[in-house]
Amino acid sequence: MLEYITIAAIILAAAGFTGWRAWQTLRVASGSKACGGCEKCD
Amino acid sequence: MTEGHARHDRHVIALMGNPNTGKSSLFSALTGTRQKVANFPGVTVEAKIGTARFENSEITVIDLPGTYSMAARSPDERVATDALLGRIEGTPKPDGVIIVLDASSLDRNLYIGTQILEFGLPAVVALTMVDVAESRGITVDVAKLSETLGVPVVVINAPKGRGLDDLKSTLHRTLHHPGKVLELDYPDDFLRGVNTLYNELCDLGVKLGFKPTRPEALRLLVDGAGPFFDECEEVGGEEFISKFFEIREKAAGGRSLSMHEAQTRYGAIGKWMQEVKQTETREGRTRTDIVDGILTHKFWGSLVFIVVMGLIFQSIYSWSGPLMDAIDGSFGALGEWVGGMMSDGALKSLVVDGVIAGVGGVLIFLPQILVLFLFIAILEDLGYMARAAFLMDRLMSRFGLNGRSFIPMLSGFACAIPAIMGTRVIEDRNTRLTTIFLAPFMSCSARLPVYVLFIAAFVPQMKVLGFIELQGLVLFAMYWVGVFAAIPTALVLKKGILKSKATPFLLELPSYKTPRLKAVGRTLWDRGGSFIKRAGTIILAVSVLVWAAGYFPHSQEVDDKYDAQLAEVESAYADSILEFNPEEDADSLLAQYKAIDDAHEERVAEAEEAAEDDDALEQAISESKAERNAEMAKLAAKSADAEQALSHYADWKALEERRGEIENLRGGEHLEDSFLGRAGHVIEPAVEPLGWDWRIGMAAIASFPAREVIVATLGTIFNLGGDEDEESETLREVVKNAERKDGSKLFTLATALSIMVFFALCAQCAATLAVMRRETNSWKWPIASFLYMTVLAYIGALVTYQVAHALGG
Amino acid sequence: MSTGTLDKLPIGKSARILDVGGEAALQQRLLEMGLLPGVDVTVVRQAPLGDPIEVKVMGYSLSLRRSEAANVQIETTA
Repeated sequence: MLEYITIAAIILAAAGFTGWRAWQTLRVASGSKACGGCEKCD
Repeated sequence: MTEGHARHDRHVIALMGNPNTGKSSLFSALTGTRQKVANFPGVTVEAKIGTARFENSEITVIDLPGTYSMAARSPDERVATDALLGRIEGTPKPDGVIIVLDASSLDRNLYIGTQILEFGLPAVVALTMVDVAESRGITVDVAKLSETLGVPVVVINAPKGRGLDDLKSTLHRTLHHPGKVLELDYPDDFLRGVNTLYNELCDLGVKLGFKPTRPEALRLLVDGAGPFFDECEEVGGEEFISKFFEIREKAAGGRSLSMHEAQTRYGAIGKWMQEVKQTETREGRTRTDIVDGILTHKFWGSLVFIVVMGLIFQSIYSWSGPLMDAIDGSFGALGEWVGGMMSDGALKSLVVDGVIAGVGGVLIFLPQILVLFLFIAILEDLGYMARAAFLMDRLMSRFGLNGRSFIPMLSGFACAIPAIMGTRVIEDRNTRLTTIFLAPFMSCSARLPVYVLFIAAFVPQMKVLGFIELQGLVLFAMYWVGVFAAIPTALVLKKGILKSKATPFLLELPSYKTPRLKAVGRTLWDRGGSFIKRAGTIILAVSVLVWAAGYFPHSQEVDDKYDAQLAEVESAYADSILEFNPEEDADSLLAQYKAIDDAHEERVAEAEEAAEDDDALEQAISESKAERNAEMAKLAAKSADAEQALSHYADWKALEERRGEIENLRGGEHLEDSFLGRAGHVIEPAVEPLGWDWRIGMAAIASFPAREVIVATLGTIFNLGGDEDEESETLREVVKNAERKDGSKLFTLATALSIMVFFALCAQCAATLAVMRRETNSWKWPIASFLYMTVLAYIGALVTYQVAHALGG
Repeated sequence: MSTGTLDKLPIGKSARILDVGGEAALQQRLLEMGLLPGVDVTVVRQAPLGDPIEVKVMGYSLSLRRSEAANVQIETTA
């Protein structure tokens, strides 16, 4: 049981992070974030 | 105009000057590692902000982009003025300025110097390259220069750390006094024009939202266009504009205003230089001249260009090989160690198949990334990039581009994002859009892991013409795939929607400099760091998601089915074999036979690495086999027990093989049954003509956030699918051994080439598309780019596979 | 003594600039880079494909296209 809770937490964290990055990328596209998520200031 | 001579212990200083003057190394020497990149909203040029310490005070240093003039024809060029006047939100207003002047071309450096001094901020001149000037017979009288300009001058040599303390203490003294405005002898009409316009601007001031300055009035008068003009037009309307052009015409007096400005500035500079500078004509040519005689020579120059590029790709293989193997090996060991510690189950699969196989698969390419950037950093620091632009301009202009486009394109080999951001130096809109559209075709460093993986696995290690590594050659060719696709694209754009006239190409060819270890080291550190960071963040997250999609639902039915099969197979064998554990019963007879077998396998593996051709390999294998058989026979002859153990050992080996097969089938069926597998089967018909199976197709789709993710997803998918030996295999081996359902090898050379071509041309990089949207201010371009590149990638991969397959690859 | 434009000046030859013309932004750029009346300029070499050219002006090397150099009026003394 504990195993599956841990896994669910990890997957949720990964999905959340990916979603957050997608949102950041869209902010770059709209120009409200100046830096392009490139290597320099990633 | 003497404002802002602040008296607090925290000072802000702007660092300004021409490009190639040693401004950046001065900045690094002053601030060390305490620096960050400042973002200026709406523009792409960037400034670095750092902190220098002097005695008890802290100095914030803003390193503004190097430029030849304060003329502001574009928003980017306007940044220098705005930053100097403290008008950029989030960037502090400078209390003073360090003007960096290159002693070896002092005249031209002083052009912007006079422009900055007209702002009247407290200023200190940092004189660099004095040694270079002296080697060319130029001596600068520092005291005279200081007297003439009315500001302190400090000789510095930042790479060697000379003059820095002097500069800081001079700065400290200077900041406590108001600056002086430099007065130049402009023609009367011109000066009157500046004053009249200044008064007009002051009237507009309230509506502009800031207090205009006299130097800005001068700029507006001369430039006659640009962002400041647009602002004035907006708030001042028709009335202001008609007045403006009237003032302009009067001030010009029938000539061009830029001519007045340039002649006044360079006239003053020329007069000063008679006193300040002594030039002794030196016999012979300078070092840079001699080197350029070769590097930009009609024949040798082109040859060196090609050889240098070729060398880079050769070294990526020959230098990073050992390091790569070491990282590869340690991730394999880590997976085994962690796997051994955890009990079987979903969490173990997540850690071993998802995280370690995914992230580790990407991280092993760190050495390659470092070698590539080592070369780029050295070439940049050496001053070769400007020569490359010089060599390539003619070629680029045929495709509606510009030698200037070449530099963003070259940085596109590192990453398309800075390349797209760097296109702001191109004034012509259509040329700029063309360059933006083409930048993602340059093979960025994220494609490198994809290329390296498949080349290392499928291109034989051999030499062509006796000295060129075939693998390096194929890698070099992959970089050309993008270039060859970009050329017709550029032509189509040029002839069609983005017609443009030729844009100016005025480029300084700076003297060659010995690359600085520190600057090169810093680039490597930054690039390596961001690569590791990506692996630890977005690649890790995507690996976990791909693992989840490939693991679940993980139905019990499948497990039950294979457990039953396993039990059935095992029932046919004796208990002694089922219980045999090679590690625990190391002294047993079975283990002794296994040791002989292991030694044989090791010899075969060594022979595979060392053998020059197939015949030699076959011979080595048969010799090793004979040796094994002889040793086994010798052991069996010792006793009856030993003889019986030999047949038990053969049984055990057969059982192990069956177990492995069943486990592979179990893993395969779980994967097929997973969410990823079900989606994969839907898309399989689309990727089949490319020689791919559904697993490669899904890995390619999952790599949309960034190209190198495919390496991680392949690692995860194949590990999950159980397509692996019990020995911990490297991803290279996994890929080599992966099989289709019918048991044939999944990856052939044709499939590998098809994947590489696909990734050379596809637009699988969300960040690039986002930056494209921002830079073009429209979704039109990123969508067009994505569709165009994806279609091109698909067709490219299709043709590659079909042709290579037909040729027997 | 003969006059002409910078793009026609043979490699290795020097000349004095008489006037700089061209479209406003280009003219401004040329002037800023030190190509202005009264200044001496030497053509150092051309790129392998014949264009652009490299000139020495005010003690540094500048590369520009022949079409741009055509806006620079010069006179040769030799």
